[in-house]
Amino acid sequence: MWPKDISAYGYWIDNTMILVSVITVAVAILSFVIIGYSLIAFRKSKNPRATRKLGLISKLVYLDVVLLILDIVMVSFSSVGWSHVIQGRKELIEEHKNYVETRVIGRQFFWSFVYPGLDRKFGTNDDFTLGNYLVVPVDTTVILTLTSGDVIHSLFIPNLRVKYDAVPGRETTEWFISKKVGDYPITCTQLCGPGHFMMQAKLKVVSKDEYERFLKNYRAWLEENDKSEYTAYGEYNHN
Amino acid sequence: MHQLENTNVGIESLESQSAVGQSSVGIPSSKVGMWVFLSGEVLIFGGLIITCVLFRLSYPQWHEFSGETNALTGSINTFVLITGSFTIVLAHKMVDERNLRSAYLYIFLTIISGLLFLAIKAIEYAGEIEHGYGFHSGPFWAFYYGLTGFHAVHVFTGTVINTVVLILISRKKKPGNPGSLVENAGLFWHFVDIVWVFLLPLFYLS
Amino acid sequence: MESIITIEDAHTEHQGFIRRYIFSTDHKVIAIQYLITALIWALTAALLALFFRTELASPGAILTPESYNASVTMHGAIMIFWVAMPLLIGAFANLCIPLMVGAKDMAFPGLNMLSYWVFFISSIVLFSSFFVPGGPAPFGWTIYPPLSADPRFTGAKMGGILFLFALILEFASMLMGGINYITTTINLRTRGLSMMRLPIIVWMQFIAALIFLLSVTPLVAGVGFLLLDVIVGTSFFRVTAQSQGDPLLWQHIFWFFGHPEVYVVLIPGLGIIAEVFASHTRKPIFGYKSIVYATIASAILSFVVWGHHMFVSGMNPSLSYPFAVTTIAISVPFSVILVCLALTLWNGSIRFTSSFLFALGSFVAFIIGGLTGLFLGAQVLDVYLHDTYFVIAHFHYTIFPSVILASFAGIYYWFPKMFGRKMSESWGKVHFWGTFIGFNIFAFPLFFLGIAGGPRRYYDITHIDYLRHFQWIHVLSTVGAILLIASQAPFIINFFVSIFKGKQAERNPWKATTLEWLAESPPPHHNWNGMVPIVVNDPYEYSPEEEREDFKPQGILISREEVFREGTDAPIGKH
Repeated sequence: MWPKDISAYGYWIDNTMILVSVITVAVAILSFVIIGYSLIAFRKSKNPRATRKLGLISKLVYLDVVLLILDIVMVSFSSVGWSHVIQGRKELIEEHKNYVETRVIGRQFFWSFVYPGLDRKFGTNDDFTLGNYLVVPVDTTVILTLTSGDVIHSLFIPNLRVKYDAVPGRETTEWFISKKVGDYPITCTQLCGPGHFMMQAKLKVVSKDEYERFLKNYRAWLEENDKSEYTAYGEYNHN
Repeated sequence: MHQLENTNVGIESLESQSAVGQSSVGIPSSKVGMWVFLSGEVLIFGGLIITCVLFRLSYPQWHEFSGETNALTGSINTFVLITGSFTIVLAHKMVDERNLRSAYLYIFLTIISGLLFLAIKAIEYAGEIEHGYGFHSGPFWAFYYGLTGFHAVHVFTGTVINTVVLILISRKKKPGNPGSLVENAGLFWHFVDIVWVFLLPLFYLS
Repeated sequence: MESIITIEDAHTEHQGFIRRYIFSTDHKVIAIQYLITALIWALTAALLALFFRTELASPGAILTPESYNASVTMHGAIMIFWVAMPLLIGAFANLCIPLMVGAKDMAFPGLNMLSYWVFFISSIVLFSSFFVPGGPAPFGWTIYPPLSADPRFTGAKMGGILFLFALILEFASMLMGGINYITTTINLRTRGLSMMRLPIIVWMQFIAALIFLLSVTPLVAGVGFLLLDVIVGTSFFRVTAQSQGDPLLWQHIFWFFGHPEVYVVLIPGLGIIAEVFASHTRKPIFGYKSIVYATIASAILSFVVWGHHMFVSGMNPSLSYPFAVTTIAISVPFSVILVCLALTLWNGSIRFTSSFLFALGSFVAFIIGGLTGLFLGAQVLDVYLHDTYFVIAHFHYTIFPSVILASFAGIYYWFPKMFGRKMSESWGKVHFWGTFIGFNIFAFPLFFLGIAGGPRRYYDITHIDYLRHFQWIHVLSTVGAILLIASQAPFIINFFVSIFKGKQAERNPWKATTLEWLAESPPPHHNWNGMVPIVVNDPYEYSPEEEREDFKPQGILISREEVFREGTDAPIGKH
């Protein structure tokens, strides 16, 4: 049910999921047992007159303190995870480490992915755009610069644990490192109109050499490797 | 009646909807209600003004446009509104002193101040539209017309309230307490006044 | 002055039918008007849900993507603004507050009537939006611009405009109501009723009215701006070539309202649960003061959590730390309230009436809803779960119990006071089990669809590779929804038949303590028949140890003369 994690920082998200699940399920079971027992033990036929005194059970109020501690644990864990996610984002942008950048433009109802070409610079002649088709190299930092041409969209790659909104009029940045080669789904998760549910794209994680070949001649590469997808999605040029 | 006065709560807080006939906290319900209403209003304008300020911070051309608005009419209007606030305070004082004739005069002056404000505002809008600045001419003008227009609607409402209060207290058969009517109308008018004091620097001076 | 009041009482007895039942200023009549209007809307929204659930179970069967989006939007908006608000804030606050504080009516009865009729007009405006070209608003109940700000994107211009207008009217109506509830609670409490002796539900309604007042007002302005964007073509929230508005600004304004709004409908629901728990376990509410303070704390916290709706929106990511902390912190006051309610059951003598079953169902379901909120408050998890069916399931587990289940508990509980008759208990139980089981079959599987990464508001998941095998979740969920909606039939019949043919109810059928049970069933106009209720006890004096009777009413009824004979200089509202 939980999609396979292929992201370098995905374990933060998965481990937080496990932590929070364990805590909430434990608290839920405890409270349902107490409530269930009270319902059976204190029904009218069993206990015709109520007693105000609670005795030892009133110590249950300390459950709130326990919950407070658990809250602190959860929020710290989650915040550390978050700091890994966004700290990475900041460092990448500020220090210009070795990364691969792709621009993402959401439109009703498709994604355009703009590749910088071999020179790794945007705004040059070898830029090219593919519709609904994102190719990234494995084990490399990938930066996605998101924006939108009309309404708000949200780029969601379940396997990478990536989700970020593409907002018209501003650029947002998302990053990830994929650790496994393969094909993965990309969807839109922000209601963007009647075709919202059809706004699907494909993520193809390839080896670093493959990626170079893809950038060098993407048409030939697509012919060779992913002909079905190439014809299915075609090319878009909306710049 | 006699015993009621003993409670020191006085005639003002006699509440017809209360089963014991008295206010629980000693303030008339109409005043409590007015304050609750105004606290909501404060947040409406507060929200708008904060939005506007946030927008201004990320919009460096703001001052170029705010230079285009008519600071003179803006300042005159400030004076008009403050005068109105002053006269309504006097009206309340006169009602308390049972000097109803002067109270009528002061409320009337407040109404005039409201109408004067609206007239000056209309002239100002007309001038700006003549210069080609409409609702569509960018964010500054959208905010300008949106906020000052909304405020003008409040001035209009306040003028209507004052007129109704004037009619009510000048009638022979008096519904409720004229003092609290004038006081609540005054509270609303002060509020309208205070909002203007915030709008003035935002759109005319900055 | 006494004589004036008595004359006024006598005066109102001779009103005609229209003044008495249609344009009435009587808070009980207005409560019933709100109740019936809200139930009609609930039925409408449930039918919409039936349409799109059927659609989701068998894609392409009855709706187009456009009408699917419109139904989803209208279902959400109606359920929140035209069902939850009038039910909990309109009906129960109107019914409970004046009776429970021992007043003759609301502080401003005329305003109260106006509040209902403005609500009625907003209902008509909203309803008419179903019949305009382009259909009703299809941009989601959160109304995110630019999708909502520019009709070109959706093709539903008129529907959107009417929806936004209806929304402003609805807010205005609820604000008028709120002014009444706050003023009445502050000012019309009868002698001996200090704030700390108020029944929990009055506290909850009071706090809810305050949060609503403080949170909705910026949104009213925001909706006004959005309307300008749609109609005049300004760009407050739109991005065009000429001028750059800010779409995120709307999200800030909306969620600054949106999160407190959830508590506006949730807190009164908890209040109803508390009332029903106390009278059906025959025990005082455990930790009255803790509940009150915890509610105030959660109300304050609810104003500083809105950012958790925007973790992935492009807002500055560093803001996520404080918002995650406040969000998770808000679970503490709620756990205090829930633990207090759970401990109220302990050592009680529980009567399983339909009313109690609904309160209990609400309580249990709300625990699940509250706990799953922790998943969404943890910001790294929210990145994954945001805008998936997990959110839908969580939201339904919080709002459905606190609005629908709690309202049913309240309806079964106060029905005798409203109409002077009782509802059928056996049909009530059928209603409860159908509703509760149906709800869980409908909502619980959706958690797993969310965990699998299923985005919300998807018309059809069968053509998406990674979601295709989860179509069974939609089918199962639809089965639950059908059971849930079908189970409302016994309720509707029971409700209307009982109004005319139900068993006659005495003044205090549940042997409850609070003041409303001192009045006749139903209470006459001005409630107390010329008598005055005076508070002598705390609100929940159940099973006092020294006495034979298992409850002590909170107040006594005395004649007006006695009020003024007894020491009048005792300050009112203190004891």
